[in-house]
Amino acid sequence: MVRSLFSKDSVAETVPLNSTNRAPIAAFGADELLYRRVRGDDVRNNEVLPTAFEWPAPSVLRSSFAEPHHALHANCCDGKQLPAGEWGVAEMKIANLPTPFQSGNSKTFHFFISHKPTALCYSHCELLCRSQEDPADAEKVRPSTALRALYMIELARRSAVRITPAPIAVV
Amino acid sequence: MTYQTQFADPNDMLSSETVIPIYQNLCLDRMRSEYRSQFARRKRQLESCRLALMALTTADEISATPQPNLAATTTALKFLEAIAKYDSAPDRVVINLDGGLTFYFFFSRRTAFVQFLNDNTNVVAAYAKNDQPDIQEFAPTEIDGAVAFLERQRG
Repeated sequence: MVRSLFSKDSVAETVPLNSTNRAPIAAFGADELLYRRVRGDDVRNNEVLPTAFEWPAPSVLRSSFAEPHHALHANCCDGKQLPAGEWGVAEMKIANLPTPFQSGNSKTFHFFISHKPTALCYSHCELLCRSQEDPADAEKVRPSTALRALYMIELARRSAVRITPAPIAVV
Repeated sequence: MTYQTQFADPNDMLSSETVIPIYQNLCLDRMRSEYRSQFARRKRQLESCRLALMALTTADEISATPQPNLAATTTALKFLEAIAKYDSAPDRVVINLDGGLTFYFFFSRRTAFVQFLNDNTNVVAAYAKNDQPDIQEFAPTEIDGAVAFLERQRG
């Protein structure tokens, strides 16, 4: 039972790798998975919904250095203890990232991943997206609202629920 | 006898003049009952949405999600009023991680959502697992167009 890993009794077993003496590794394997914490609101019938992601740089953990449940650990959540059971974890294979993809106005966009460890969460990465025409440092330029929606849909469609959050009270 | 006079001819009871008004009244009663039921359900849904909107406008300490601002919630409430004319209400209301609100509508074949962002832009979109998503931006003054987009997805 994954959720039991987050009880106070077993925190020691689940501490993510810290970044002490570890440098970021830019290369990613195509089979590597990305883990993302998701709210109960962002899952329906075991499918991830677009609001599980945000623009510009949703945080993910890379599976080479993390277990799925690390996405819920305080060390990978800015030190905040998540309420038990309310959050789940989605996963996405790097090879399945929707890149390149076409926007409605025929522009080509690329997803890419940047390994950005934090002090207590070595596996932390950011999932970025930029237009093919944009310079490399332009990944955080705000796209149109429609393109942002497309970006979120594409990410959601390629994600799978790994740890199911508690069902929410549907409005 | 009065009794015999009134029911002397059973065919009188089955005449259209007699039956149709009774049938009409039964239908009207049924329609009124269904309407009351639907109205009550819609009212409950809309009230739930309004309460959810109010709850969502409190900051989320854990995810550091920005609070939906006045522009987003105002347009969202106008949208709720517009879809109420179609006896419709969102299936889910979610706060956006990057600011604003999302209404989800789970139709039989597609998932549709409407987003009201804190930067005062809005978008309505629909998608299924393997098809090309339909996406349309709309201004706060173009809510009717967004509602029409949504209603087209229902089928």
